[in-house]
Amino acid sequence: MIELTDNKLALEQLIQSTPARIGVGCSGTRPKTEIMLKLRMDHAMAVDSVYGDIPKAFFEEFHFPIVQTPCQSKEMYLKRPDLGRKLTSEGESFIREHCKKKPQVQIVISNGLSSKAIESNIRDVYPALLDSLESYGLSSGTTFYVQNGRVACMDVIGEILEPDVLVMLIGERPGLVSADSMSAYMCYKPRIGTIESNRNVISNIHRGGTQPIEAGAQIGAVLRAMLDQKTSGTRLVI
Amino acid sequence: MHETNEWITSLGIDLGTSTTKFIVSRLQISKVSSAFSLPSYKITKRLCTYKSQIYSTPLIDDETIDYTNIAKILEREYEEAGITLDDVHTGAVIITGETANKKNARIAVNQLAERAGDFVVATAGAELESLLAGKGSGAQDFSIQTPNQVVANIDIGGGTANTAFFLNGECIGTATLRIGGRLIRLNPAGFVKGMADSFKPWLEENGFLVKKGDQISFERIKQITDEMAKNLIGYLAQSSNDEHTQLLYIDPMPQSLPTVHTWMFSGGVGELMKNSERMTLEEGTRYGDIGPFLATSLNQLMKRSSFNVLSPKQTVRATVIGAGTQTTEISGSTVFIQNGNFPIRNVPVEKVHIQNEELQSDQLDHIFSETIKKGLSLHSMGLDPAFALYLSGIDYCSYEKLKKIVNILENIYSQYLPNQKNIVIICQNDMAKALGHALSIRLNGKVNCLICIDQINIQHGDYIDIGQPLPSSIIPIIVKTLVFTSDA
Repeated sequence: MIELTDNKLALEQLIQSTPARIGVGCSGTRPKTEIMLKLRMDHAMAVDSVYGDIPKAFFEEFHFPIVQTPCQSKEMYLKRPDLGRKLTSEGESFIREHCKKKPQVQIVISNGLSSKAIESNIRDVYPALLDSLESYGLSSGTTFYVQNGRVACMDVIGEILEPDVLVMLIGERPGLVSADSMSAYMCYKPRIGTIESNRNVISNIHRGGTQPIEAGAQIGAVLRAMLDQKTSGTRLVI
Repeated sequence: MHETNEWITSLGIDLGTSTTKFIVSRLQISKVSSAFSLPSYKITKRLCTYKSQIYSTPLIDDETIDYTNIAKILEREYEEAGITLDDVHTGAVIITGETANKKNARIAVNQLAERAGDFVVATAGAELESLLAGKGSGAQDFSIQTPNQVVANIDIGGGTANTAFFLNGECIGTATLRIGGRLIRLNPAGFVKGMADSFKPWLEENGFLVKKGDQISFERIKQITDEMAKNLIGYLAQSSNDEHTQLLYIDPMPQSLPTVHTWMFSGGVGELMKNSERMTLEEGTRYGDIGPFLATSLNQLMKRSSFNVLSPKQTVRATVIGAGTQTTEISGSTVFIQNGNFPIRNVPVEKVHIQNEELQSDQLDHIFSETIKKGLSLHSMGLDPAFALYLSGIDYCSYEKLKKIVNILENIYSQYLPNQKNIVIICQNDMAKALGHALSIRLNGKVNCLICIDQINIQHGDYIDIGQPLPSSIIPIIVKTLVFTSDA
């Protein structure tokens, strides 16, 4: 920590108030070696979570079918956001044939910008979400996984499966504080042409942020509110 | 669209040794979370909107509180304040000082609480009293403005001196001594009209041989109050603590006290300290007791010792303002409520402290059943819920851990409390909604009412009252330490 000061307590309170790198001190005009190394390590972890893949063991545990977007590589995924919003034609026909049509709730999982987020959080969020749906008396369709998806690929999925509500659990753009943060995007009757203000989100889901099991429980409550009010996004009253 | 601010009305009633006061306050509850996170609410403002006059506490005799007359005062004050019972969401009746020792204290305070509104609770206990007075007087706020310096608020009423120590806004300790303005009652000629029994041993030990009917001189009274002030401040400033002072203890006393930087005096005697000039015997006995003498003695002592004394924002009403504005908290807003019949009052809390490594072992089952067994031995069997379980110590609750806890909860409730129809679980961590869902599925309709709330800090032995959930499922909670010095 920075060595000073006339108001050590105020500095400590500021440091307590944020996980950001403040009050770390410097040597001349540069960061200290230890701080610099930590920064580079955190950056490397962020890069890893974008470029990394979810390990096979994960799919052996959960048996989610895997569906592709036209983004064959991470490079393509990063450069062409529009392609991340579509499914391949094989993907489309797979879900048309194998997933339950017109479910009340459709759950979709995608690595998005952080495979690590899925790997770390699904184990806690998903079963808590299923409990929550059961407890509210809601039924869900066939959960599947979209490799290299963007949030709006839920519109294509909505068009094909016609769920009443859809929740997409997707890895967030990693930061230097957390590389395994996940979001839950929710929408009432997502269809092609749905605009962003019609979606709701619970973000920052990870151990150090929004508690994963509690997020799972709350997603159920938000979905139920959408079904009750037949709307979502800014019009939804929670 | 969202209504992000809600206001609730909270009452405070303080039945003190010598005086009774009443206030009305408004608490603002605001959404403090962004649209992207789980909803989260906080009490953002606590405003006192009405203050009653100061009444003499109605007593039937030395031993009995005149409940009927207090109820009458209350009725009149409701009208004066322009509120009805239906307007009141929450609040607290606190019974303080010597009044808590009266024969019918427990009955009176409970009846008053029920009469005052659906969710007004009864509280008592020296620690809580000290804390509320320190919050109400403004000492807590002052300690936030003066970082790293201990502020002591001494609330001196008729029967006790309740001290709370604050550091950076946190209460770091309390201490209560049997020092008050009404421990000896006098008429204008200096005849002793009565004394608190609990104070007699101290008087005798110090060689003040006074009894009812004696006439005592101005100088003699002053000697007594000087000695009282010396004992009180000597103890709090840790400069002296002899066996005489120990006669004034109200247990339990803290092991150690912090070094005080700023002193504040609230309560009736604190008010008198604002302008204690030279006075005659008649002026000194104008309240029929030794309050003004004690105020003078304290002022002189503080001046002589060059202590840093500050006038608090509230003096005589510090405790009642604290009780009205500071007792209500709100739970985290992702909670689970199935069929509660609110308000649920006086639920004793049994704490299950789970170490992280214990979650991996078979120990867990044992910890839960021991807690349940202890709870059953302590609390009467007729109650439903018999007690609430407070889960603390879990650092991160994964779904796997949650499942384990749910299994154990189902087992122990069906084993030890098979007929229990109401289950209340309080979690320190943000996990109540997930726990509620999982547990309700497991119990599958075996209980009528299941309530899981979280993010409340509770000490072992506390009681809680759970209020009617507001829209947006915020639940007002009052955590109270219900201690009566004599169990009548």
